[in-house]
Amino acid sequence: MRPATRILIVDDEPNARTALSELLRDEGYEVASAGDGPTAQARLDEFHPDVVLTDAQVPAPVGAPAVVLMSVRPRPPGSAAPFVGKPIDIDQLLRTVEGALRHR
Amino acid sequence: MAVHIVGATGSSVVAVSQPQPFHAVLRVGGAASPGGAAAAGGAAAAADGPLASARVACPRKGCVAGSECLDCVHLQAWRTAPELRLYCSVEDSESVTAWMRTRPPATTVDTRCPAADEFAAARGVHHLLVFDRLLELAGVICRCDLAHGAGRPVGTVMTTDVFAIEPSTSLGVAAAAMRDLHVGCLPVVRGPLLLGILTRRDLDRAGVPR
Repeated sequence: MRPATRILIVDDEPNARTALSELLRDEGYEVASAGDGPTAQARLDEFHPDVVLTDAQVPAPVGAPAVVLMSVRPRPPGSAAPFVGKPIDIDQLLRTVEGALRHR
Repeated sequence: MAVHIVGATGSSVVAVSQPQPFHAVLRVGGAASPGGAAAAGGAAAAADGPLASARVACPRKGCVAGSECLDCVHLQAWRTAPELRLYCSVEDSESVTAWMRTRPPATTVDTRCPAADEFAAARGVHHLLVFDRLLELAGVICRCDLAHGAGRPVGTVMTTDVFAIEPSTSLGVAAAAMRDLHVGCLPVVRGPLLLGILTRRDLDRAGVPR
């Protein structure tokens, strides 16, 4: 049996954090979350995520193996990271996460 | 009979010291449009995609078009296949308005307890508001009290000290009030007007933790 992919959610909006955590657990992922940059950095060191799913307003932790950005606004200019818009299309999110995992 | 208004503000007669904090998620279903495949590109594509053409069983508003959901602040995530599923948020600061029951089941002070209990059972509710002969709120009664009321009139066994809230009251304050005051329902009033009732079951429906 393959271990579950670990996803760290970084979002300063608690409603988004809670909903994303539940939907990703529903999909079989192992999930941790953080509401700000310093907490995300600490979670990165203790949780060892495969992917960090971060709101574009919050800085992604340094050393993340793969990053997916999300935002209610259009993709941030100059960013090369995979991107999903909010509210989140779950199928698009899952495809993007799997793509980020392949390109780590 | 006395109605005590409960709230978190200083003007409230009964103050709640600490609103119950929570963030909950509702999994909401409905009917996706036939043949609707997932749209790519997030919300922009969804605006005229399969969610927009779906019908959603919204716990706040009833049956709504999915296009309405795309503008809703509570929508966090969605999918339409293999079945429609939305993840919507509820938080402690939201007002009770969308969750209270309007036209609450009621009885009168002169109704006999067995008849009132039968009525409550038929309506699938645990609490009934009680009105006097002038059709003014006289009290509240639950099925537990009705069960012990034998053949007596409801007016002799009802609770006459009624704790009520205003429609602007938050879910967090209402939950704390029910917990602290040991009540299972709160009539919702605006001045002398009765607008509805909020029960513990409504809070469960909203995902408020016990």
